[in-house]
Amino acid sequence: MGEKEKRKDIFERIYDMFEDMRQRIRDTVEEIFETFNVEKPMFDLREKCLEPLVDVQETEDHVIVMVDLPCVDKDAIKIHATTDTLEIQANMKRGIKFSRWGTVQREVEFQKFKKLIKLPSKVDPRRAQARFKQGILEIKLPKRVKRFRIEIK
Amino acid sequence: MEGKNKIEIVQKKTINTENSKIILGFPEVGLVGTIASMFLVETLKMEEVGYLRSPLFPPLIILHNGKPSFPVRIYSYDKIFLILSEIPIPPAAMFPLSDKIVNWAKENKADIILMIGGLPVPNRMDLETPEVFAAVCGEKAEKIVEQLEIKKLEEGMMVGPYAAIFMECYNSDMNALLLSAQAFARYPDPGAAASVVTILSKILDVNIDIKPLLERAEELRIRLRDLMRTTSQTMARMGKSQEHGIPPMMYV
Repeated sequence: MGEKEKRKDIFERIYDMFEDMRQRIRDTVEEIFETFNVEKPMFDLREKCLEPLVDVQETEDHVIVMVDLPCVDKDAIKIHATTDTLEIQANMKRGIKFSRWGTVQREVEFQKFKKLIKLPSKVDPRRAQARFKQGILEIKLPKRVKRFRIEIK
Repeated sequence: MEGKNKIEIVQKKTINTENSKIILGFPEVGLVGTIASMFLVETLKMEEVGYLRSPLFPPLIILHNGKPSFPVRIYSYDKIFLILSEIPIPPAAMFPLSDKIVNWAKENKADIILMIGGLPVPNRMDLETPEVFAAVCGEKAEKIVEQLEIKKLEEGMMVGPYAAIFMECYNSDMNALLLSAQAFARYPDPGAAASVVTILSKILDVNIDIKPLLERAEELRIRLRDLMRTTSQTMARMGKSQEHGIPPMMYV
């Protein structure tokens, strides 16, 4: 490996380290908001990103997540799931401009939706199913818990 | 304003509600009431004629074009009055508010109170055009429902500001009609609002084109996210989920 590649590799690792730190800080802030039940804003001006409205329901076998994604095409939605989280990201068809945002009344434009959802139960993400209709995304995630029938003697 | 439970109707202009129809558009399921009311104000170019104030409302003022306005306002157009709220009605304000509105309507000889709401349905995602259902109180309301062939909500429970208004209307012999469109419970639903406006235009005998509302639907859903979130929290506090339950039956 040449000196140039080595240096690039080091920078990439440093970048990854900072990305990882940034994500951890975000998670911690999110946890603080959840713990103290504090209303956090539903936008991120730096990332020009809005947080969508989300509804999480549980049935005996499934966790059903519904996300409101107006101004979004199906192909622009990215869903990533683990056993206990769901990450949704979607670019809007067009930027949505607010001409007088907040107390400073500045103009802002949002271009995407982003949301990390903590699931109430462990799920099997490989068997998840999703559909998108009328700007609403529905994801059905089967629960991982196995049920056993107990016989009464 | 005297008394911590007092709701005051402040008239900026003389309001004559005799033989008029009073529409109520409060944030509730799918923000159907708020969206439909805002659309009516805009389309009919309704004039702001007053507002409601109370220590039971949050200390909040709306700034628009640099001018402050109260969050619960009264608009008028001909013999139509509309009370629009830009805040979810706090549970503590529901009874005093219903008492005030119904008494005001009764004293001023209004014809009927029309409420705009949403009916949460789990299959809303699969419905192209949401259907409107009605809950009625009084003969005039019954007649409207019959003439327009609106399906009636026969069994179930109602929770929230409209339930309080209904109780008060029933108690004071005031005609009331709730128009409730199938809607998303927790997402702003302009499609459901459009369905109610279609029916309302027939009741009010005014011509209203719902196309502009449907064209702006996606944008409205984005702009109303924050109000929907606070409304969902208020609905949870007032036990709105009881509406999904089976009502206790006195006579089976």
